[in-house]
Amino acid sequence: MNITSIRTKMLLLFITIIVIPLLIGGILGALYFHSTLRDTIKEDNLAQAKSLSMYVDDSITSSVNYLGSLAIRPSIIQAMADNNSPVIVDNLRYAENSTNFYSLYVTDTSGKVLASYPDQALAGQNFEDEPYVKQVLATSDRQVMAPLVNRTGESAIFVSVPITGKNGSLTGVMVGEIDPDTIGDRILYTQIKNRQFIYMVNSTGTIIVHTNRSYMDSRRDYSAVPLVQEVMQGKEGIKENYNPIEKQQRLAAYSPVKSTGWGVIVAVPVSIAYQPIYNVYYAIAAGLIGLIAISVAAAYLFSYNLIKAILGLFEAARAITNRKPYIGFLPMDRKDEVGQVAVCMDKMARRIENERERILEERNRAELFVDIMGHDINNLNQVTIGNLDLIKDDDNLTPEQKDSITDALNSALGSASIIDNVRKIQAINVEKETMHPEDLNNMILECISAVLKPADRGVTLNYSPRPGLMIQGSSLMKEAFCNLINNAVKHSEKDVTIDISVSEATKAGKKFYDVSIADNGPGIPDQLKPKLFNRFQRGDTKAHGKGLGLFIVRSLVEQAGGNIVAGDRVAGDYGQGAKFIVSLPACEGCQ
Amino acid sequence: MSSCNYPGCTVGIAIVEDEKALVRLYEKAFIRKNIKICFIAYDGIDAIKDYIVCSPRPHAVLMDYRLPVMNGLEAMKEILKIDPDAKVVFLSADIAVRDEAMRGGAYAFLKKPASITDITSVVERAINAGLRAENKTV
Repeated sequence: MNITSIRTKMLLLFITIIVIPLLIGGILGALYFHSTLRDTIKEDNLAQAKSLSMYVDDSITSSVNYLGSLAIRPSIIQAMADNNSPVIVDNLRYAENSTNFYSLYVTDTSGKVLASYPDQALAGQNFEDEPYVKQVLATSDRQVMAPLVNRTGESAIFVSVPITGKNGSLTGVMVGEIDPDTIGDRILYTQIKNRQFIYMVNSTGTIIVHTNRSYMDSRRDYSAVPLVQEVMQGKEGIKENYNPIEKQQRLAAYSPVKSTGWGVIVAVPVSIAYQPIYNVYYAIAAGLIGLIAISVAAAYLFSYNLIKAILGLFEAARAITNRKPYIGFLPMDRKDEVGQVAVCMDKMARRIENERERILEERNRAELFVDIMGHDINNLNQVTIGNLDLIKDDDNLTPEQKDSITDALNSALGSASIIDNVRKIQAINVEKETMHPEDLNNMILECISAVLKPADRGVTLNYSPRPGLMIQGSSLMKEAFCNLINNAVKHSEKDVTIDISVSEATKAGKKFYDVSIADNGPGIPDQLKPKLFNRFQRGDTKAHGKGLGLFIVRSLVEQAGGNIVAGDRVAGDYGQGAKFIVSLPACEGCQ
Repeated sequence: MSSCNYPGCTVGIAIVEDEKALVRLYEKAFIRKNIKICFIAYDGIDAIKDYIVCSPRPHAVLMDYRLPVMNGLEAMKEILKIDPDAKVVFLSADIAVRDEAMRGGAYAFLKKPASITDITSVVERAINAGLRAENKTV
């Protein structure tokens, strides 16, 4: 596709007008959606983390409250005072059936288990060293501890509350165990979407619940994760962060479980978290591509009609220039300005063709006239000259008769010379002479050998031959130099010396040969120099001539791509003689 | 029409020219120089016929270019086929045919109008060249 073509420019223009606004709109839209969606995604994830932490908080709190309410029942207090284990077991059984606790037991103040459910074998065992018992005994405060390893070696959440007697003194500890999976299955895992990771850590950053079971079993330490550190401090938020344990960049929302100091974290790989944003980008890009394609097609179709007509004008103009059939390219059937231009072009082309034919006709006529002159009149001249030649040396002629014959002979010769010049001018004008390599040196030498030397004067020609000076010239080119040399002889009334030399010059990076023809004749007055090469311009010597010679010389030289200047042999003093310099481009590579 | 009727034409020139005034001029010029005229033809075809018929043949032919029926160039080529040693001197106002005439085998080319001196000089040279082939001179 030519970038300078009008079709391309039109397409580019339409594309620019339509596509660029679309692109700008698309980019702005994408940026807006990016920002909005990003915030929405973050808010969604944070809201999810917060709701999960609230659920956990509620669940644990309700479990603690339940246990607490159980611990203050008079039946329990009395049963402990009476050492009535079955009553305690009944209560514990009811609690186990109604709550998340999978194991409950009651100890006295020494830590000895008085009753337990469902594992009644715990009765009689001493748990005073268990932190969830020890801490309650020490502080009389409710405790929630996780993850701790239970007696079967599994992680569990321990809720322990004090049991106080009628007098308000501490009489024992009621302990309930919650399976972390319960929290996970009932609360956390039901909320998983889009490949999220949901986990819960305690106040030291240890995993309580995790979608990766092995982390739960090993109570994996997540305290190194930056946002875990934040949630351990009771903060909530959402961040993109690199999880060094999972070795993954994630978007993680975190929220504390206020009642326990735990934290719930909802994490998702960044590439998945922002998938909606990417989807929007894809949709915008697809939409843009579609719109651009539609607009390019529309631009092409719209411009096709107009551009086709303009291109038709272009093709027609080219065909007219190359003289080939053009009418088929012109959109002359259009009713708009383009159609009018086409009609005008057709008229112009016809007029040009008519003019061309007329010019050709006139040229042919001129050639006929020249031909008639050149042949028929020259034949008559031959008769005249020949017969005068025959009688001019007759001894019986009087001097007057001889003068008359001489004048008649010269006139006939003059007539022949004019015909000769006219033919040369015609040949130059119609470019009948084709250019070919010519040896400048040979042309000069031939002119020197053919110079017309008058009987009553001496003619000295000085020239140092330099073979191999090749130029591109016509076969008439020699005439130029012969004319100049013969002019130098013709216009001098005394003995004449003509110096001819060739030098090389460089003009506009091209090599030229400068041929200098200088004589010691009367020279050319300054006022004549500017008009010297005009047609019919004569010098002011007595030499005969019709003023066509230098015009022909100039025409020949210029036809070969050169130029000629007339000056003085001695600069500033024309009376010392004339000097012509013919400058011709060298024929590079010619032989 | 054959004009090969010059008696005793042992050494001479043939004139092929349709312009009668020029023919008369050439006759006068050659007579002055004692150059015999073997025949005069006014068109190319007659020139060829006369050349074949005339015996002995002219030692040179003064040929014009623009001739009726057949031009001088074609007539020269036919004459040269008959006699490759024929010396044809072209005398024509058509300078454009010079190169072709010389390539075609012309002995010389003179441009009209030429002086009588030039014409007779070139014709003498052509005749002598023809005679040298026969070991004779004028």
